[in-house]
Amino acid sequence: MSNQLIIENVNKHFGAVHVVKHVNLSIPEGKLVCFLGPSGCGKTTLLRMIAGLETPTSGRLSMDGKDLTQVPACERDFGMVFQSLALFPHMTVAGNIAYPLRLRKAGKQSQKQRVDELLQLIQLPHMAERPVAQLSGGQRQRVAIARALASAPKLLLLDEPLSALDAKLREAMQVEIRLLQQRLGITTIMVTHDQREAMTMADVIVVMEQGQIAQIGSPLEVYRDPVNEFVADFIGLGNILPAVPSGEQCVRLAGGQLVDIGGPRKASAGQDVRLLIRPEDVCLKISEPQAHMDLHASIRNNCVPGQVSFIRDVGSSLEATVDCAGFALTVATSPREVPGLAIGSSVLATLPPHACKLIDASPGRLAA
Amino acid sequence: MTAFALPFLRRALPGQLTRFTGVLAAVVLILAAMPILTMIIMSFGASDTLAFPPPSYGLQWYRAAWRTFMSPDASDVLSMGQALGTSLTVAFATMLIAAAVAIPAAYALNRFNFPGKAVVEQFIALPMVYPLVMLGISLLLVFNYFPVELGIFRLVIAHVILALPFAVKNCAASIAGIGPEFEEAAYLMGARPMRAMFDVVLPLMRPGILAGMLFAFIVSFNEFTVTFFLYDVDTMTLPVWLYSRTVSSLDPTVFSFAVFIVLIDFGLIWLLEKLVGDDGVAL
Repeated sequence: MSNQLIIENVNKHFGAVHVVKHVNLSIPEGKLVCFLGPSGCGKTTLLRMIAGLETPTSGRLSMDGKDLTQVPACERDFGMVFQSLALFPHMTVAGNIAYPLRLRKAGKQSQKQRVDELLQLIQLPHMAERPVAQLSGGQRQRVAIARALASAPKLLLLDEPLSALDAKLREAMQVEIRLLQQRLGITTIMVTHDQREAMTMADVIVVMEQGQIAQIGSPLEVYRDPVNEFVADFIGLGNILPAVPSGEQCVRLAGGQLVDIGGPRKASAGQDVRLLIRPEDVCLKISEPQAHMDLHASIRNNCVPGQVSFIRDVGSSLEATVDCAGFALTVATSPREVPGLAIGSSVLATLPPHACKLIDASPGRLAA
Repeated sequence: MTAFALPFLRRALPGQLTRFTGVLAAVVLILAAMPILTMIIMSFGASDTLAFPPPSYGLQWYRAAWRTFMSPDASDVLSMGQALGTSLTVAFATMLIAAAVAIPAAYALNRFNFPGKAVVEQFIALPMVYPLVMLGISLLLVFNYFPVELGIFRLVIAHVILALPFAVKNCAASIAGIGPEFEEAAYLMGARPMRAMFDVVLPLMRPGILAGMLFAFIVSFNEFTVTFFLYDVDTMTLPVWLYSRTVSSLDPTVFSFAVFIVLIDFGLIWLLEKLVGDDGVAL
């Protein structure tokens, strides 16, 4: 697996604001890399620097070994889908898709052939002569992708391309774009603030925080093994509980409960740590009310007593909030697992040691 | 004060607002149409005086206007046809120059931040508030100071100054509605900035550009005050010619001519609506 695009120590300042800070990143060939982070984290600016729409204040970009930093956008030969799609309203579907070909002075015949090919690819044949304004949201989306792919670019850039679509269509398009990307094997960089979208589509997720890269990893790595509280909080639902180390492999939670974390703590974890446990890893059992009272008896086996304060049952899954002494736990399970669960139920929540992760409380740590 | 005003407002605003504004709008519209109506009525008069309303009606002034237009007699300093030709030439040149200046100006003002931007914006809008008589005198002094004879371009320059605020404002309104991502998309696809400008930005700005050009044409075609200081016998425009007719002979032929001019203006405004629709026109 070779690295196609290499970003070396790139910085961007807008006036006094340091938007992108010391970013080092390699984009592997043929993969879909996702820049994920909250708004204002610098992910779009980083993408725009890759596209050539912004110039880095310092640092270097290179593609296939060639320095790209000073190459203008029009000479980079990248395809890009903008957040607003930016389809040209004064051109037809075919006119839009053929525009990059026209700029490359392709013959009329080969233009038409390529447009037909792309319309087949996005499953919109017979749409060539439609004005863009007459298309539905999903159709526009596909036309924008076809246009970005028309000149067979080396790199495809997607800037929150699905944000304008409704939830259902967005999920369908995520799968569609991912399948298309895998079929074509085109190196793709996508920017999104939707962690679900990133996890659905990406080979590699780059989590960004305040202009810096917080973590780089596969979706499951980032989900299972976040480097800090910020990443853990941003990726998926998580119970992030303040904890104090106690002994070799235990921590004490806010309510005094002692939890076994299944192994020695990482050396880096200082006194101020957090216990991360994903909602689906917590096991829930309805208990006798008196067990609730006996706090110390239940510490064994990492069982924490509590009371259900909220239930979201959407049929396929059930999410419950359990008030324990000193903190609240979110638990995700299936409605079949805990029949009879109701608000006010006394429960025992088991935190399996292998599912407990200790992470740094301080956000903003740089990935190595 | 407030105690008296408030119940009145409370009563007037919700229910009776529509009727009140309706009446107000009707009054204003009648006042606005009055000069044109007067002019049309006068043009169909059949007396030799400028009495209003005319004691009798006929087409004699139209016949006289037609004669003047076709075969101007010796008493006319300049034929109406020549004045019309000058007016159209000046208006056309004004329209083109105003567009050529306004499009890049509007683009630059919208897309870039540069020192003195606010000052430039103020300068462009200045002719809208400048006393026209002073503008005419100033330009006359400047042009007379010039070593070269500018001829018809004296009028074109003056009219461009007057038309520019309208042209720039219309172009600015349309560029403001076009996000930079359209150009950026074109860059990414391989278009150089100039190419993207012609392929993407200008076509998308079209309604604003057309509106601005037509406004420039209308402003120039109807301009009188500044032109009055700057014209000479060879470069008399239609409004100045009309004025000279009323001063010299006071015959109602001018009303027939004015009806003709108003028809042209109406045609242009109709064209404007047709080309631009509701969006893109800014005054």
